[in-house]
Amino acid sequence: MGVTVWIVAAPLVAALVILAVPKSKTAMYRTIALVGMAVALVATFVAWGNFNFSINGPQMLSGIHDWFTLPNMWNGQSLTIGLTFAVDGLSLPLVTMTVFVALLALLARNQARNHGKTYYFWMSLAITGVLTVFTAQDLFTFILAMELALFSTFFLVLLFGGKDKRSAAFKFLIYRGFASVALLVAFVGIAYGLAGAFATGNASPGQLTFSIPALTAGLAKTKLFAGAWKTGLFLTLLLGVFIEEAFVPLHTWLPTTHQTADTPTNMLLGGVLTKTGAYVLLRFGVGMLPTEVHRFGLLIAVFGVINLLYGAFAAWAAKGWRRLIAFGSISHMGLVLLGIASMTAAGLQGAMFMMVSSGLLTAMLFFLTGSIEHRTSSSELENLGGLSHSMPLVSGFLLFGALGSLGLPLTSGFISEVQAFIGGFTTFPAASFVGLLGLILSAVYLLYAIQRTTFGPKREAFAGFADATTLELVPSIVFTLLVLVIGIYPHVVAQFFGLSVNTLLGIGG
Amino acid sequence: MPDMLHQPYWLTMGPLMVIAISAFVVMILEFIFRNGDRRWLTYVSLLGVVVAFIPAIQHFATQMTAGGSFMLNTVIADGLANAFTLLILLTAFLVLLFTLDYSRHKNIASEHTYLILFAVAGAITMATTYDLITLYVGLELLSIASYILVAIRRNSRRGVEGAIKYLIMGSIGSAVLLYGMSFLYGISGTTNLLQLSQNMPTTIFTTYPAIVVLSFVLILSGMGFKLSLVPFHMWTPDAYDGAPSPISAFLATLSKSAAFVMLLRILIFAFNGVASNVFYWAGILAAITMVVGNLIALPQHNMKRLLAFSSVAQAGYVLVPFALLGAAQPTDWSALLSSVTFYLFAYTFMTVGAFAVVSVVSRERGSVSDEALVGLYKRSPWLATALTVFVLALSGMPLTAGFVGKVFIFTETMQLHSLWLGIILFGTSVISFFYYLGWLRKIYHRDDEGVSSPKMVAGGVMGTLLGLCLIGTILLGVAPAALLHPLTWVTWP
Repeated sequence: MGVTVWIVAAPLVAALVILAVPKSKTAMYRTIALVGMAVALVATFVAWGNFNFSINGPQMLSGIHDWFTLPNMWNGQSLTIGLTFAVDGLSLPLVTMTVFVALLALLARNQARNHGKTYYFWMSLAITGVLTVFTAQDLFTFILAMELALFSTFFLVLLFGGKDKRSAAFKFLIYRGFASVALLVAFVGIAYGLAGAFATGNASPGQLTFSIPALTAGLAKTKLFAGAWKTGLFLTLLLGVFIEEAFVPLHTWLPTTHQTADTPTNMLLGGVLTKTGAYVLLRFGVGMLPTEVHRFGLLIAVFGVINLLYGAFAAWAAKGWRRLIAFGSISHMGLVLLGIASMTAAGLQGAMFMMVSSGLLTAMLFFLTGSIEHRTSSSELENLGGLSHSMPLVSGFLLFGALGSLGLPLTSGFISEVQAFIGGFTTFPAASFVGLLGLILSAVYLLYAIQRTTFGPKREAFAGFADATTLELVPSIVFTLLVLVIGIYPHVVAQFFGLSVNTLLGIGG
Repeated sequence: MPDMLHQPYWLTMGPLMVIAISAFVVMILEFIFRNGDRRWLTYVSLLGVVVAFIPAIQHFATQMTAGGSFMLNTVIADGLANAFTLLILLTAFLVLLFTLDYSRHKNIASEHTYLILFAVAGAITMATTYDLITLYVGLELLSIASYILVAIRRNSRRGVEGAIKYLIMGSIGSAVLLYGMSFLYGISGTTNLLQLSQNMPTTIFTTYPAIVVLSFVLILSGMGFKLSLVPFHMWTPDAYDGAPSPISAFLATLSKSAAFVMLLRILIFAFNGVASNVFYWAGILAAITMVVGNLIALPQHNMKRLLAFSSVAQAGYVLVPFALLGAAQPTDWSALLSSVTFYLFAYTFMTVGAFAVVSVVSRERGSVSDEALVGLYKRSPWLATALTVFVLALSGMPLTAGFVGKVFIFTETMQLHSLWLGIILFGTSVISFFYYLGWLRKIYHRDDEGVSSPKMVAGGVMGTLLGLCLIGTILLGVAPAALLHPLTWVTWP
């Protein structure tokens, strides 16, 4: 069994063990989930150690290669579906980020008072889903993983959310459900496109496969794929990505969900789940249909800038931290879109950096505001203020998170923004110029919120609050270190991303 | 009689004979033993079904090597017949288990046992014959038994009302079907589907194109009543609601599978050569059924009526491959038929399971409103988990049989350039989230004011039934090869 299977299977096994363990204390279930993630973390480190930088593609392939076979699906060929996992330069950093965020999310305070079993079961299952999304090498596995993450998160929100949890959970499910449908249509369409189902004229049929590497390699060469179908499928894919990423005007599910979900769910959703859409765009859009990304580059870039600005303005207008972070992450993802649209090495690498950086920082901010909310019972800005007097450590880490998020040099946010904008200016200077405004705005809304939360006069009501406990301190330090390491020595991650960028542009250019 | 097992009669008609004999035996036993607890009759029926599995599996194995065989100009033992015989027997087994549990708690006339067996005999006839007359006889055997089964609680006003509606609509359906068949006979001079399939492309269609189309539409509509396709579905909610829960499950699964196989048999034999000219009608019907079936289910709060509408929508999904038959090359047909079979297996497990849980819940709470589900998770985590799995499967969530079935069908719409049907399939599935997951919302509702009812216990028989359905639903979702692989052995017509 390969190391990639370990990464995916560890949280799944944890979920099953949690299901099997008879009634016990919440701490017990949490420990099982943590052990699962610890195994995944070790497996991830092993994957780092074994990574071969001379291979331009998925490596450490493992899993079941012939899971099941659908008979006679295309000109007498049967379609073999695999349950296979692997990592490449794009997915390994994202997997690492996911493992860290998930591990720290499990440590965060949650609302599973008496239902630890249900809670940690769905949590582990959601983590399995996301890790599988980033490692799946078969379209079917990929779709399966997305749906797994979708309905596990749905249950986390539905069962453990706060006020209005039901309507938020359903909104989440319906939006992302439609996104899944769009992606499914696009995926299966692309597979049949390679097989020549949409060929013009009497072309001889090609090989029907659901294997993602085979599709990526095959689509670069095939001439069988008629233009109109290709465009239609790409736009369907793009629609799915836009919903997954909560892009304006399809974004309304994200703030409502973040508003009600509990802290670990928010960390997982904001940190990792909203990055899957961008991953899809890179893996399937840029990877498989690069000509279409070129053709619709301006559209994607304009959408990116709109999101960058809309997210920033909405975050400025937000009255509470939860909405602010939600819109902040929408703004980040707008920049990701701009970077991808540029189709340059810097832009793509910036987008990848942004996914990791935004994942870490969004999760960190949710973690810290969760800690504050636990004490003050509110994350609304008007109810906060002067917290630095009683909680200097929490306030300090929150400030660091905000600074990273607005792109201070030496943090991961900076390196991401710089590269994405370099890419953006190369291809779309006008749009990127407008987008720069978003950087200024991000400084405004984040510092404004910090100022109203931690600074200001001492409040009597908050005087007795304890500062960070060990369980809060350790995750904060880990987040800080990760953000700093990427910011100061980006090569740690860039060595992987660079490999992937070369592969993507080697095909695209 | 050791030779009996190798007789061609046994090989082709074994399951039918076993079921028919058991039906008569149970009927006579029921006449003889008038008093006391007569639930043991159900065990006898179950035994009959289990015995019938033996020739059915034997068929399946023989047919793999020897191909299909024909008997008496009416009986056929090909891949389609054998696969559906197995499906029908499996469904009969589940439904009988269900009635066993039901009769333990509620009064139900013991005639239901052999009526179900007669219906099963009718269903197997529909799967294993290829003459229009015998097909119709099988259909009527199934239908008449079903009418009585729906009305089996004579004192229930809703039961009788549902049965009357079902009887009237079902009879209209039969009449329309016969009308369509009479055209086929009129233009070809035969009721034998094999002869029809040989004559259709060459002579008949070129001479009477309009009549062939008319007869196709009439047959499709007639079967549409039995399959409760929109717009022929009006009887469905009343009949499902009025009938006892096991009978509702029976209507939703067994009689649907049988009607589907009969429709397949007629359409692919009689209209084989002219598929591209007529089969798009099935696509239109499938689209209407998926959209309307899912939309009318939205405001529904009666659990059994909701499952009725859900079965309407599900029938729409199964009809999609029928429409694709028109666009497909004959080489693609095996995949389409496999996908119909796979989906019906999946559908049987999840639907019987859902009806079973609903039956327990409505019995304990004395209400079929979905309010009865409130707090189910607290009262019975196992029932809640089981229903969650069934509902997720019905809505097409992954790791369940429903997802694999839908992806299988969807992939085919892509292959055959009928993407619009595939998009409707998944689009309406998202609509179905609303009502299926509305149940989940209630199950996991935790603000349980006024809910102080005791824990629910399912009991051994019900536990077995739910266990079987759960295993089926999850196995076909996690390891679909368990069914897909055997299906590749089948030589489809």
